[in-house]
Amino acid sequence: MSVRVGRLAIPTGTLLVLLYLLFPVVVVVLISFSSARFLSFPPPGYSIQWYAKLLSDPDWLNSLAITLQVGALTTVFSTLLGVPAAFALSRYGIPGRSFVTALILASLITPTIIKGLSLYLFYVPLGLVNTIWGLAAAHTVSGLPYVVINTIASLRSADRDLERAAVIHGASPLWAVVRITLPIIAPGIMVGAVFAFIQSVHELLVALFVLGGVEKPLAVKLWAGVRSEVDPTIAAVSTGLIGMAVLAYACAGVAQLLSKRRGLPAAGP
Amino acid sequence: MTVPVADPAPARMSLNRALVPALLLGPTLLWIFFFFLWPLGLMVWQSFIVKDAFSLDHYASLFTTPIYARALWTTFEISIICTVGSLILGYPVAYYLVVGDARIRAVVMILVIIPYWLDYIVRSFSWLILFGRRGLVNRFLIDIGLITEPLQLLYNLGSVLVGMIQIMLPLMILTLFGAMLRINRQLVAAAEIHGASPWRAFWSVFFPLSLPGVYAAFLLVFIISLGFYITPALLGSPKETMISQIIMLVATELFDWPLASAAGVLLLAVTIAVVIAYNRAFSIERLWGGKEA
Amino acid sequence: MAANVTPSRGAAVRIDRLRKTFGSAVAVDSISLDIPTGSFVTLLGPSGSGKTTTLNLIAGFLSPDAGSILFDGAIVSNVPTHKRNIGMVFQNYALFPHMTVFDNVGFPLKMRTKLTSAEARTRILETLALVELNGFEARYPRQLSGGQQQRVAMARALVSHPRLLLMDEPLGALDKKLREQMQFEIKNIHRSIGTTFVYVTHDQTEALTMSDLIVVMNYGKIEQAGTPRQLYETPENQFVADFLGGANLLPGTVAAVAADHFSVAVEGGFTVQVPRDRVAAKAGDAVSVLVRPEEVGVALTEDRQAGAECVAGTVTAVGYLGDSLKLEIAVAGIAIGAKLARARGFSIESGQRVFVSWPRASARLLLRSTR
Repeated sequence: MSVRVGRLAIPTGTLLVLLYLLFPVVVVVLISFSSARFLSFPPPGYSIQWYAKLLSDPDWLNSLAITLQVGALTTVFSTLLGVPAAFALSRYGIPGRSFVTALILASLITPTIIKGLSLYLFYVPLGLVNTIWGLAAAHTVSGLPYVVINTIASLRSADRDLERAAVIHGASPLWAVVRITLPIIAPGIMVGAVFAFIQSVHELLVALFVLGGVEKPLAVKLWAGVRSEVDPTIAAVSTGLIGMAVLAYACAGVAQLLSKRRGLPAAGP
Repeated sequence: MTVPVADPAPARMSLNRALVPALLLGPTLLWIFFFFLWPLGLMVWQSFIVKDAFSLDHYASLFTTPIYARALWTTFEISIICTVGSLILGYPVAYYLVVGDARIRAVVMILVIIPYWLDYIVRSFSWLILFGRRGLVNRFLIDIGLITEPLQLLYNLGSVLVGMIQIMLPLMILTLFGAMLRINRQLVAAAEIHGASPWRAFWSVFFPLSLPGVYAAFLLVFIISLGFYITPALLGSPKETMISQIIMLVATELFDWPLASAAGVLLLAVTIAVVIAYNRAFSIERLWGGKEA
Repeated sequence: MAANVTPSRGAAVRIDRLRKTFGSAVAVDSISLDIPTGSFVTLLGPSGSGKTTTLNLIAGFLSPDAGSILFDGAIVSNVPTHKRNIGMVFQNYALFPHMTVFDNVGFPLKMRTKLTSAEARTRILETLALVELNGFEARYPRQLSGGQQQRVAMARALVSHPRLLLMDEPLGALDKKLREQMQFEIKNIHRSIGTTFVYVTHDQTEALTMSDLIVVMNYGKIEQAGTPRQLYETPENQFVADFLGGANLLPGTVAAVAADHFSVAVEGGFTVQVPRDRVAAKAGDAVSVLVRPEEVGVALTEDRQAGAECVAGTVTAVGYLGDSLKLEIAVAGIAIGAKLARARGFSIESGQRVFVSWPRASARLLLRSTR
């Protein structure tokens, strides 16, 4: 008896958990297309008025611009720093490697409120508070782990002999990395870069401390909105953020798929 | 007899071998030092300073002021319940991802990963819509005649937990899944061939082998739960105030940076202590293994 | 046409007391070896014998702890890999997955030469013709079969006319039939271009088929180096005898030394004669008598001929191999393997009493190693 119950219980349980995970998200998306002024669900009718309102609101557009700037800088910094670091960690016998790795990953489990508070204390005397650069520098610390982990995973699954084949047939070691290894692990790097970007877009607390006072990135403005005037505009912004995350994730997925089709190694998540 | 030729190459190579990784890793380490470690150090420093002198006063007031002490306890309580809840809900899903029908599995995987990459604010906000006085749940209950007056579903421990567990579930599931994937499933088949019922084969073979993954996932989710801010702030009442909210409040409303720092140090210390305790028992690498699998 | 593909001359490689350790494990234990210009040399040995490490040292992927490697008399230890002018075929081919066959083969030209693109194109097509792979230029490696990938790897290794070609078990991933075909093709290519080839394998048939010189390695040391014939017919120790094909090694003790032969008391209780050659053995030495299975004859009646040994035994196992019959015969407690070539119509069963014989001249005395 228990066998049959088990066979049914697990798919059913999985389905319920998926419902729990996704239903609220679907509700937000649907409400963003509501014709009503209130957050009633299901919406009485559908329209795109809230998106129109958003796109004509210079405040929201400004927030979007700030978020994209910070996100882009974070992605570039994380990638430029993280890829060489991943090479060092996976290719060289570095003393205290697991310590260095732990140091790079430590940001992932550090409560964001601590990052926000400590960076604020650090930035105030330096005049980095309320600068896009300051926030991007902080977000880079949190973006690095994603790039490093994904690059290491790709390097691990990439055949080392390919690089050796390039070197023995005349390419300098550096050129072999640029010409052979980097193109092969590029999808893995891209996945890491996408994650670095998404986490920057979502991050609230550091942004509140470091940039919240003057310029509001999307997360900060959304947070303010959620806590006060709750109307479908907020749902529209949320849907925009959902769309951005899904799109970024899909890009990473497509890159993976293409590389798999070309017979290249694939990376996480 | 030729004398073995002294080889100049190894010396140069070993220099390269030291210099190259230093150049590759240096910028990252500098970055982490300046934008992570140094600020943390500054925060620790601040927490011990009262009027330019060393003091433990801030810590004393943290533990003696009821509202702060209570928040500390609440943080622990909520984090534990949230972690246990995600484990109970997440384990079967992770198990399904390992043993279920291959095509459905791929879809389930995507449906678990998508919310993982959604904004905490968005996900917490959605419960406001569902649990509000005129929200979907209350309207449904009134419509079927179970209640006449809307229930207060928001701003209590329940709503905070519903929100937090929903946020932590994907991480829990993916970490468990990564660990379960490493279990040799032929062992379960072997147990069944040798007479164990599927139920017993699961409990005597698969479950014990999945325990390292359970510990890893439990720790990861617990640590991240400790630092929650958005969900309790949005879905909780003052009774559910967590330590991150205290830090925010003290810093931005009371402008008491040293006291906020002390609370931050405390949270950081608890986080590090949990990780170290875990690292003693297991290997730190496992913590990251799951997410990347 | 072939003249264009022929490089000036292959390199003579000299390995001088080369040593490489990994932690406490000695991978290559002070070996010395001369590889003549233009020859086909095979490093043969089981896994862990140090053959691949030696190859990687020649390539420059590893740097030796001691000793040196010389190409045409010049030490290459401080020449980085990419300037050693070597071609290499890797075990899994290591074709660049993001490049077409044309770009893969053209890679060494781009790195090493200043050919115009027209000249490079000619050279690439010539080399692809050499490995009989024209018409595949635009394909990607994943669109090719294993055998075709192998040919691309060969073409890439040869296109820049390197002085030395290294091959690391290049046929290991192919099925048996293709492998045998490729053995001859590689040999033909070697003959037509005259580059020095260093080939690593654990397959003795491959080594015997292709090599001018076989170097048998074990535990980081060279057990014996010689032509295929020398190694097969006059192995210097049990390891070499055993590694190159089937071998009966009858354990015994030298009973007497005559002018032209040794008398060996085999442990089972019978005595055999072995021709005396360079092996320095004296009465009382522990030795093994090597008898190749294909030299062993089996008869149902005793047929003692001059110059042959003949002992009685019982068949313990029979294996039918199609072109031959494989027997195991217990002679006084010692198992002797026989491989009978013309087995058609010859029927024999397990448990039968038989007489085993072999020409005395085919047997060989080996000192029993204490290793």
